[in-house]
Amino acid sequence: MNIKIIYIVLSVIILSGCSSNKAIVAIDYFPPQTKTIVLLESDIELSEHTVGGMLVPKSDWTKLAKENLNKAIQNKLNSIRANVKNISENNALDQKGIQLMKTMAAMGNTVLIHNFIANASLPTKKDNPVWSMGKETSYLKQKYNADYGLFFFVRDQFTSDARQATKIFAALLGIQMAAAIQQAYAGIVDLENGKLVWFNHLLKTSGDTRTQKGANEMIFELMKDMPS
Amino acid sequence: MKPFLKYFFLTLVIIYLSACADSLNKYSEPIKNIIPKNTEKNKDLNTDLTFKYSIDDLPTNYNPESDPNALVDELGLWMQVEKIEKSTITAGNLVKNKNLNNYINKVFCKVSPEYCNEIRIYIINVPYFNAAMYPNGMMHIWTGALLRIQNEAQLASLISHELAHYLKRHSYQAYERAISISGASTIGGILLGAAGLGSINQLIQLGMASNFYSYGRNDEREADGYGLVLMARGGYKPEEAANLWKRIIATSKKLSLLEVSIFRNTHPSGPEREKNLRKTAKIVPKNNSEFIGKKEYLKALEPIVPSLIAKEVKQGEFESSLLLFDKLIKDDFYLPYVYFSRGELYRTKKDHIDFDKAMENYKISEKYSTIEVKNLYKSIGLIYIKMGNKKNAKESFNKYISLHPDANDTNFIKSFMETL
Repeated sequence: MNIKIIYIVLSVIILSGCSSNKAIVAIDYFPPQTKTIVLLESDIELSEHTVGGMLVPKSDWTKLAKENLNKAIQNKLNSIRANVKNISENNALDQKGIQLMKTMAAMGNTVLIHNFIANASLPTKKDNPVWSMGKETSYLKQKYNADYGLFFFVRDQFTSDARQATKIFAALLGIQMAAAIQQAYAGIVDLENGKLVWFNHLLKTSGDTRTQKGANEMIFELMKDMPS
Repeated sequence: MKPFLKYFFLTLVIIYLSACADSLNKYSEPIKNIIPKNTEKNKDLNTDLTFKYSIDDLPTNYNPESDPNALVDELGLWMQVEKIEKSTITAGNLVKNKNLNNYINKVFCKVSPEYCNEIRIYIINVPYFNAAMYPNGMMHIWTGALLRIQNEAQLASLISHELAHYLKRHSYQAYERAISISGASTIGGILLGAAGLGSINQLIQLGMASNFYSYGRNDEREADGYGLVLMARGGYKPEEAANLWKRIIATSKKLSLLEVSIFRNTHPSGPEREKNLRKTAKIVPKNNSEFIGKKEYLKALEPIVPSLIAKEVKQGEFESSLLLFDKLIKDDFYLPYVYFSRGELYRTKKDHIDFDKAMENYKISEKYSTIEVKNLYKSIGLIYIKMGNKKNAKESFNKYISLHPDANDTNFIKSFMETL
């Protein structure tokens, strides 16, 4: 019994500290100082992990995280002296733009699955991990008058108090409940030809993008290998 | 177990329960209610005694997004639904035909002038009978429903049913229930698992799920009731709501026992709904409620009929498609298409292939019109090939090419004919 408890406590400690972060798809040379880069609309969602394991999206947290992350991204881009363009309210996406963003998200998810998950690599992409979403992206190039598009996908989960209590209780009984995770990826697309020039992701069981500090940490980790 | 450990565990359980008390309190209402009351069931069987749905129960200026009492979870739900709507607007299978969309919006405004400008209706090309209402005022109608609906009054009944779900906030309530019930079943599961009753845990989970769905059933009944009120107020004949269900039953294949048990959990059975709707239609408050509008409906549907029927054939449910086409033929519904498509079922559906029956249907389609159905002669040619009649096959393919010289497969067919 004692050994069991020690084992559980240890595994909880190990798990809560674990994070996986592999840099990726190194690609073409990307000179941010001479080219313009547009920060595209990010897909950010924060949610609460309930006792029953349901993810309940939280709009107030999401709003907060969006502001924090946006600030962190701007700071990062400024620090490498990138020439950044921002999407203004009156330059919102039309239908074609939304469809391109959907394609970009589909590409991001595909890269995430086939480049980062073991045993899911594609035979045709093994030696030549070049991804492209086609030349249609030139539409965005014209619309925003930018050379590159930077996109983000962020999911940040938080264990509810009730679930936290249930987790501790369950762990003592030898039952392990899934942890809340923080997952994000970012990519840069060459808007001229739709090629993905850089991509990175992170998956952790810690972090909090509701605070500026947490958002800074995430962006620092996510973008540290960005070519500059 | 040593006494010390016993107390240790007891203390833990107490600590745990007190930690959870807040969350349990928050959801105490739905959890209490998940035990279905028998009396409620009996009430449903006696709907004809008193009519319990009144138009006054429905809000006239409901706007979820400006609701000051909106809960945190509800705001989160809208965030999700707004994303779905953004994705719907650019969906590849969205039916964009302007006239049809205008027509459906017109029917909606007749049913509910109050929300005429609030609700967004999207027609999605999916060949199953379904419609869905989202808590932000977005409604989806699948084309499988449009193909089964026979007239404007039935369309109005579908729309008013969905609107009732919206005005009674059913989807949000279902969402809250899902959160609280999944939580309750997890806690129950851990406690039972600790007591060595893991297998009972599965039974409890099933029971929880069935409780969740029994709410779904009640929501459906309520939406049926208020739906009738709305359509009758709009001047539509309320009996048509029951006729729509009659139609759905007649064009559905018999479900397997398992399918029945799953479906029954979420919805009252079709015959039950038809019966209740027919009974309630007699006592619902009327407002010159006689309009049926078969001609109007068929005319509005006309431009998308070929694509609707083609999708139905592709869908792969031989039995229900056949039942549907038989009914459509009885209704005189765009006969060249329906006969052709019934032929397509016999030509292409595995385990049901029957060239003679296919040819029979193509020939009837041809009698009605030789040009209306584009692929008619191509299919006839393919059947002749299967039958080994190359001469007739070539003749049919030539007819196809001469009728549609610009079709994108004419070159392919020409080179195929050279191999014959």
